[in-house]
Amino acid sequence: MTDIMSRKSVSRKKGYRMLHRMTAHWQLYIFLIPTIIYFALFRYYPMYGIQIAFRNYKAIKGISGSTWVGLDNFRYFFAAADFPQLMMNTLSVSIGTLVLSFPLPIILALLLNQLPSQKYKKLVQTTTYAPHFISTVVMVGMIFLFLSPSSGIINKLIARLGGTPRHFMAEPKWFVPVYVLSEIWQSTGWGSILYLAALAGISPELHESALVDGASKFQRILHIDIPGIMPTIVVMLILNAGKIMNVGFEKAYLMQTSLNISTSEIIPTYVYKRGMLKSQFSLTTAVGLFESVINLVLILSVNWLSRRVTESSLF
Amino acid sequence: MRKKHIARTRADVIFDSVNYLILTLCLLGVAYPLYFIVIAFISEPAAVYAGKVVWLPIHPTMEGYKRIFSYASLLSGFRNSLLYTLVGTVINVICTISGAYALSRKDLMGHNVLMMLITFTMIFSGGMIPNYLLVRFLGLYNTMWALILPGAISSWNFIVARTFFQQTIPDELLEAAVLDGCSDARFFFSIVLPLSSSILAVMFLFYAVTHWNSYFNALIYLSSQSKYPLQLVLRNILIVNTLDDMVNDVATQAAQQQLGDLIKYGVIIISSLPLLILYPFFTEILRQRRHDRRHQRVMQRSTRSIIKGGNPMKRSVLCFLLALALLVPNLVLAANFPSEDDNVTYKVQIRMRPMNGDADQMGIFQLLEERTHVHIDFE
Repeated sequence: MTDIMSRKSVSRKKGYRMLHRMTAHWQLYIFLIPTIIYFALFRYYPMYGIQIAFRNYKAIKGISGSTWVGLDNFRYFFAAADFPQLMMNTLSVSIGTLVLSFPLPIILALLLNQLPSQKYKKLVQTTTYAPHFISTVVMVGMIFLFLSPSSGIINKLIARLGGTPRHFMAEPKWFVPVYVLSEIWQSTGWGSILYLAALAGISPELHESALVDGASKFQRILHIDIPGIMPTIVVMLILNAGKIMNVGFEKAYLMQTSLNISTSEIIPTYVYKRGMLKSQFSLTTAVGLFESVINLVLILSVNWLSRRVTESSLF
Repeated sequence: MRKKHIARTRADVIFDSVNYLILTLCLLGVAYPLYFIVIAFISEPAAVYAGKVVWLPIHPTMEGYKRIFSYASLLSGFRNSLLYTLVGTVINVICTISGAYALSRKDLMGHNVLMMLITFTMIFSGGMIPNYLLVRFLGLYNTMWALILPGAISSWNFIVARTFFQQTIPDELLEAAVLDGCSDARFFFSIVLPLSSSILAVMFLFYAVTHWNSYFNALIYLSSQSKYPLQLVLRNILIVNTLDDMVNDVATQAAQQQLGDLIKYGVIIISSLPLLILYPFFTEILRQRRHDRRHQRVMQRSTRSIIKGGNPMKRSVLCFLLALALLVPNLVLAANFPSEDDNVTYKVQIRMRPMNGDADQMGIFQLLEERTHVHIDFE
């Protein structure tokens, strides 16, 4: 009897304490109001809206009033004639970007870190960060200017070397190389910041003792620097893996011309054109959902894999 | 002195020279296109067109400047962008900093759950169309709020700011302040904020650049040209090529192209000016942050462990369950819906005005049948 009583009072005390903790920090909850409203309304409510992928959305009927059509939208998309082409294009753009532009910032950071002259290091850093701040529109504008068949500097160079000028933006086979190369030009410097910060965190004693043992710079990079920044590399790899299907819509859309559409039409641009311009809301939401789910599965599996292999992971 | 002697072995000398060579190539590769735009802009258009401008400008002119400032939509775009960037950034910083501080407090009930919900939005989202429908539903379509509110907080910046507060505001400071009877709000405004000027500056700059450079939200959420931000105007000039009103006085094709190119080089420079002004601040802040050991850790920690507490297995499972919870109701409802095998017949009466021949009307129905996979009978 007394046992029950005391247990009850303990639980009441616990509940009281919880309430007390919440009321004591009421000001902090006020700070949180914008955050909670924002995430609920602009991030989680659209997730509820995903259900139109399973409905035949009609604007008059609203989201919950439109009729259910099951998986019809998905079936339609998978059976569509352009589905294999879309998948191929999306994957070649994203995997090309990942394979080529993921390792370069790491290499740049490792090289910068070993530079004897601090002044030169600063100069290289300041310059290579700059393209990051160029907007996508200007970047693509530059691409069109430089690659122009009549006045572009690249074609002038080709002509001077004895080749024939090409219309790069009109040839489907050049879309992916141009996309990836410009991505490298724009993002490598900025991407190295994170790795430089990680390199600065490696304890100097490791390098000193390696020096005493007569290790060369290359050996120290291999055996001290790379293992030291491995956790950062893994985290960045996981985050990038999650973007495989979600390649930069903005740039691909701007780089599209009517002549290179056979390689430049990727899933996000397809969603935009069909959804926004032709108002096929249900179909394109289904396509978008298909893309998000693949991303989620990718990020979780790379995460799982890296926890198994390197014992560091994001989640 | 002695240390230096040990450091430079033969292998290291080779390494250093190769290193210098590679980095110098990088430097030139990045810098040259930027340099070329500047010299192309101030050179005579005909010389640029002929490919003579390579290292130095030829016959410098200011023709491009005059042309650009006569272009009205560029000016209105510039003005709009300034407004959107200013208002948007202020809202971004207020929401991010206040929320991130509250969630950095370990004594706040539910901070782990909220943090997890925020992190989840980094890897899963509703997608373009549901967001668009939401903006229309809220009545934000074709207003500047459509460019500001849907991106009010970036999850990544939120996490960086929260990690900063966790790492730089010691618990002892809070304890001492609480003992003196300081409230949470007072503590935030008079102690935390003054200590956090660097993260405020970083957030301000990151958000400002994002606003200034974004065009996509404007593309889908704005319909009237007078509200277009600079980037959308630039898109028309640089990519869609609608310069007719500016260059229709030029007769020949080549001259038109020359002038068009000149204007393009010019708008690239003009649109980047605000960023060019902010750029030194960026590099300064980044340098300071790197010198300060604490800030190094902020950068690393925010990537390494985004959600704190609990074991990794538990977190993975929770994430997965969250995704399922959002998807399963839809899938269940979808599965219960009559599939293709169930034949449902609708009787519809359609009265049509006679058009030019019945063949055309039948064609429409055939097309309808093909598109919708619904069999249509005629009586």
